[in-house]
Amino acid sequence: MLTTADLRNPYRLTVVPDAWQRGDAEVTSIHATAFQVCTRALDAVRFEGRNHGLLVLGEPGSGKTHLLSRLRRFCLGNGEKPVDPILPEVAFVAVKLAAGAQQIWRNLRKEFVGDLMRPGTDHHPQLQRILLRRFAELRPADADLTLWWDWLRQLDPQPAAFESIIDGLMDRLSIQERLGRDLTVVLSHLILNRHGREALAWLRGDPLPESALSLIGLGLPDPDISPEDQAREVVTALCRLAGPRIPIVFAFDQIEALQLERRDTSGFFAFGQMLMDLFSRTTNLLLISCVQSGRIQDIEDGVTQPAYDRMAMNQVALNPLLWPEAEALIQVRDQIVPELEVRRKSLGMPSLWPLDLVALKAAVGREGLNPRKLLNECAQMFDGHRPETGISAGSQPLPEYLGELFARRREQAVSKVGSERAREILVATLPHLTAVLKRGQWKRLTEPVPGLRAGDVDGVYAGSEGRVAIHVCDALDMRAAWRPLERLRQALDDGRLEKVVVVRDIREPIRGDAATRQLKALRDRGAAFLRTTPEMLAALDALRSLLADAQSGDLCRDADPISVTSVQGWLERQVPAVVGDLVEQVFEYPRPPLLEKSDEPDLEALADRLADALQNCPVVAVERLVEVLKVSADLLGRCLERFPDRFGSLAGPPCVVFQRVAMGVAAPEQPVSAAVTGSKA
Amino acid sequence: MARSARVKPASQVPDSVLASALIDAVHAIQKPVTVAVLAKNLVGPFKRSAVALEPILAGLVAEGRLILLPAASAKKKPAYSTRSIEELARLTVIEVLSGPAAPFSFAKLKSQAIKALAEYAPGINLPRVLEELINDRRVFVHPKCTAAGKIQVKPGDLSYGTTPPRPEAYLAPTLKNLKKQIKTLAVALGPFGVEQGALQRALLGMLQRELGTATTPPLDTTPGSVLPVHGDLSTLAQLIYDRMAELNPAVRTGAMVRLDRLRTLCWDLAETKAEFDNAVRWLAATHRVALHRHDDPHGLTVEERAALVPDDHDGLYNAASWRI
Repeated sequence: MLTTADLRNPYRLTVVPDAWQRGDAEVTSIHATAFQVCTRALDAVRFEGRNHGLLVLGEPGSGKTHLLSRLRRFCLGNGEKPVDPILPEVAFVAVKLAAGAQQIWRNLRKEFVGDLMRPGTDHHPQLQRILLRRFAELRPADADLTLWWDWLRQLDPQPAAFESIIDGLMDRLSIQERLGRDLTVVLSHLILNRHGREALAWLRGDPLPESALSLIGLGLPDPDISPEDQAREVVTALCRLAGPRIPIVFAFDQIEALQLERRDTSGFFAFGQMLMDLFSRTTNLLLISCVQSGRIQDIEDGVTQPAYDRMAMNQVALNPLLWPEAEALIQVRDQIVPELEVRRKSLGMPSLWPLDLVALKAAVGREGLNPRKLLNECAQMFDGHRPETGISAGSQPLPEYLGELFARRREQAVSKVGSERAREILVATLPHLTAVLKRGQWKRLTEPVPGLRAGDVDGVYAGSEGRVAIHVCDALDMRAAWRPLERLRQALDDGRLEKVVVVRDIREPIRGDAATRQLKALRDRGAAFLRTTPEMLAALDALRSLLADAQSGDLCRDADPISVTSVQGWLERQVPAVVGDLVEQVFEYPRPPLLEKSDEPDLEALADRLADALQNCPVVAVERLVEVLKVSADLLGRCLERFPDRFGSLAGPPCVVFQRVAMGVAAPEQPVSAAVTGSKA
Repeated sequence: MARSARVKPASQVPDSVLASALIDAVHAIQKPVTVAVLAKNLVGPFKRSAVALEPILAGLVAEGRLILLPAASAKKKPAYSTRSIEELARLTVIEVLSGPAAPFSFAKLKSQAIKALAEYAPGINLPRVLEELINDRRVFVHPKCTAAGKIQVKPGDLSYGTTPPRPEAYLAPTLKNLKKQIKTLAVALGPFGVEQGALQRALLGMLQRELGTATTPPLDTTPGSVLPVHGDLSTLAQLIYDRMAELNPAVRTGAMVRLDRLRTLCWDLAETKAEFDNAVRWLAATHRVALHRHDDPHGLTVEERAALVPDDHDGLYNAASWRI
């Protein structure tokens, strides 16, 4: 059989999604200089006791993320790595940037904590390794610190005694590194495995209800400190926690995704300022910035000179591969499918069969070829030997290809988009959607609205009809949430804004009298109140990832990058209904204010009260709800009918109502209103 | 009752403050300045008539804080400066020699400097001023180089500039000789399989080894890798290669440079963009530099796109790095 039809194509995977990806195929001679520059810069951080910046430049597909993945393995190791104070320790954080310069610190905090808590190959999260090393400095210990930790735990049979030792160590560490009370308390919980879920949510910056905060011994965040400032404090404190002996590698990938459009440099500016802040507040960081070589001018124009000087303290370019390197890469990829070599031998074919050596050499040429393009050439040649090969991506029209990708990513996102991600996702996608679907009629304003604070708005757009401010209300405990709503109402009254759009995820009820009052006052003035659903967020997140990948050259059909313009063109023609509706609701203008009080009961407010009532007791009898909510059974039935995706009911007797916990639950057997009123289906 | 429409005259600064401001102003102007010009340019509380300024200026001259330069002719007015005539002469010479047309012969320098100094220092001893500047290494002598490569240092053959002479001008005859010899060798060795390109690359490699320029890797001289080489092109390419390190010293350790910036720096090497592009492509083809393709040239303006280096297959490159 002279074909490879039954064999897996070893050259097919050409995009490394992130630095945590396992590296199967490794040719150490490829980008060896770049790797050396990385490790030397890391040594410089360790021995000089100061931060270093490293700018990595290369074409899309040149291997930037692959280089980071290799550096991650170098830092963290591939297998067992004892937590030993004598051995050098390095923490590694991979940050994929996304559009949304106004929440750059919050994104960094989330990614930083996510990677610190990621279990390594030895199953110990990086944060645990750091804490053990720091404890061992305060209460001297050597050899394997995990054994020391176990010994410490068994020192006194009383758990309280062990906790008291750890709390004491944490307090000393906190004073030494100026960690602040809240972070110290949260770290104590994490290391002692107490209230892990709440502590981790706080560390990531996720909104928490007051009950959860009080459980872990914290109060509500200070409303006068913006969420960005809070995130910056936590990030820099965590960097100090690692201390001078544990350098932290921050690998910033997809920096181009900060651009909302080709000429937009606001994201790069914010990134530069963030680097400056990290440089001035810490001393143990290696800050690696990976940028496409085609965007070097945008970066130089976008960041300030001092920021660029820090970012590019060390620089390295990833050069296209010449033939010897290309051949080595192909051979390593070959080894992924051992049957291929067996087939060659049995057929008496030369090495690299079924690849066309002459054509490949010509493709590499004198100037060289980047790894992604090389592997794609190989993959296509390999597929050429498969008579029954199905339709390859290359023969599929681009809109269909993008549609499929979008559907796949949306599917993957549904289970991952919690309500806490509503802000991040909306801020990253709305500017793109506005540009595409409103064709430039609405422009994003960068200057602040007078009288409003940084956290009050998540985007302001101006068009011929006025200014629209978007406020994502993601606080779980809404006692502090009324303040921004009040300032937004005042801005409407004073004519500083023409419209306000308040966004809250449908899974989060509205609580608190003050917030409800302010929300009603806003709605009376024409403000829109949008509830995001998991489906909507998943669709937006899929779009966000497509656009970010396109910006950074990582969205490819075969090895050819798909430009942002192509994605936007596809989006314009094939906009998903859920996304189109969202944009229409945001920019629908003017929304007439409700001058006269409507007789129609506010079912949305009732639904929020109902959700609140079901918070502690998930299944409640209708009769009991009628009593608690002080509404008629008929009105309750209309509410259930209006929000079938939030509530369900069972006919009984007794007839009960429950809150849906996930989307996609099967439809009720009979209409909910019928169940409440007791009629039979 | 209507308020009085009279405006209170602006208060004036005391003479001591004005005196200090006058010294600063005269020093900042650099050139000698007359009392009329000073009076015209003072504003607000510093405003004084020329008559009122004269005694203050005279006081500063008496204290030695200003220098009074007498008028060169009856039609001219005396002027004030913080610098002596010699200092002014030195500044004038440096200014003349910093122009784009420099270096100048002594005769040309003299005609331009004397013209500039005629108003206040007509009898200045220019050779002495020039000698002082040369001793201070603020002016450099450029000897003449004949076509045969002989350096001539007779006074009439010298010219002057504010930077040392460029070595390329003196190496040109040597280079010409070398090219001639390479050509002769190529004719003699051609039948034995040694082509002109191989000879050129071998020579370059030998020079690098001999002179210890370790940053420049020797070229591949194996016969199989021979590329069509034009002598001038390889020389230009080598100069561009070296300029990359001038533009960004980090290219030695793997960094890249922007090609638009490199071309600006090489304005004196390549007369046309095509010449520059050819040399850069030659460097890439000989594996001495790697070119980095722009991923979205259609997103650039026409001018930006025109600044990129094209290849033969619609590719456009915006950056280059050394292959090390």
